[in-house]
Amino acid sequence: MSSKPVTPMRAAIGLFAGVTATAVLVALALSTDHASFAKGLAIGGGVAIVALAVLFWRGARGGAAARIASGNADEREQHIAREALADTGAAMFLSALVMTIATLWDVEAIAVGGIVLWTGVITFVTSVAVRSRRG
Amino acid sequence: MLNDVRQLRETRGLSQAALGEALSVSRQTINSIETGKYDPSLPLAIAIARLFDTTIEEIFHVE
Repeated sequence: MSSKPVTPMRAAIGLFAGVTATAVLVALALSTDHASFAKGLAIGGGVAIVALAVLFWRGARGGAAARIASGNADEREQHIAREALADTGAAMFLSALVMTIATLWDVEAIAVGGIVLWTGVITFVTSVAVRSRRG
Repeated sequence: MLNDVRQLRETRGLSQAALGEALSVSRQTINSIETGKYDPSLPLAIAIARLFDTTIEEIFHVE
């Protein structure tokens, strides 16, 4: 009734993939003269990678988020994760719709992408926290 | 759904953590089941019934 735990090897591969993807994106941003964007990518990617590494390290001893991230979630926590992902999809869809309309007022593409992305991150974290408390 | 998991657990002197460990679920999940906030899957309900040596119908009651 638990999910399949993430092995240290899979976690290491995930960590390597995350660091590589972040480095490639930062390099792309720098090569196109977007230094500020590159800095944001580096900080955001770094924070996300460290957060996931901490959650994996906490594993079964941590809270619902740690157990979900490390593959130690039981059926209720998997249900919470699925519901949170559904909330995230709906919120990002609405956010994309609103921000597409906002482009009529010359909102920059980079702001549109950022807002849609942050809407997803905030919605997922909030949804997991609220649903975990509600049962 | 109402259930008698808390009474059965306490009768056997088990903590929520111990019951969760026996069923491979978290203590929070046991608490959610006991308070009726979460209805377990059929496999988990069967596992609970087997652990307490009874049937699903004896433990879980439709409101």
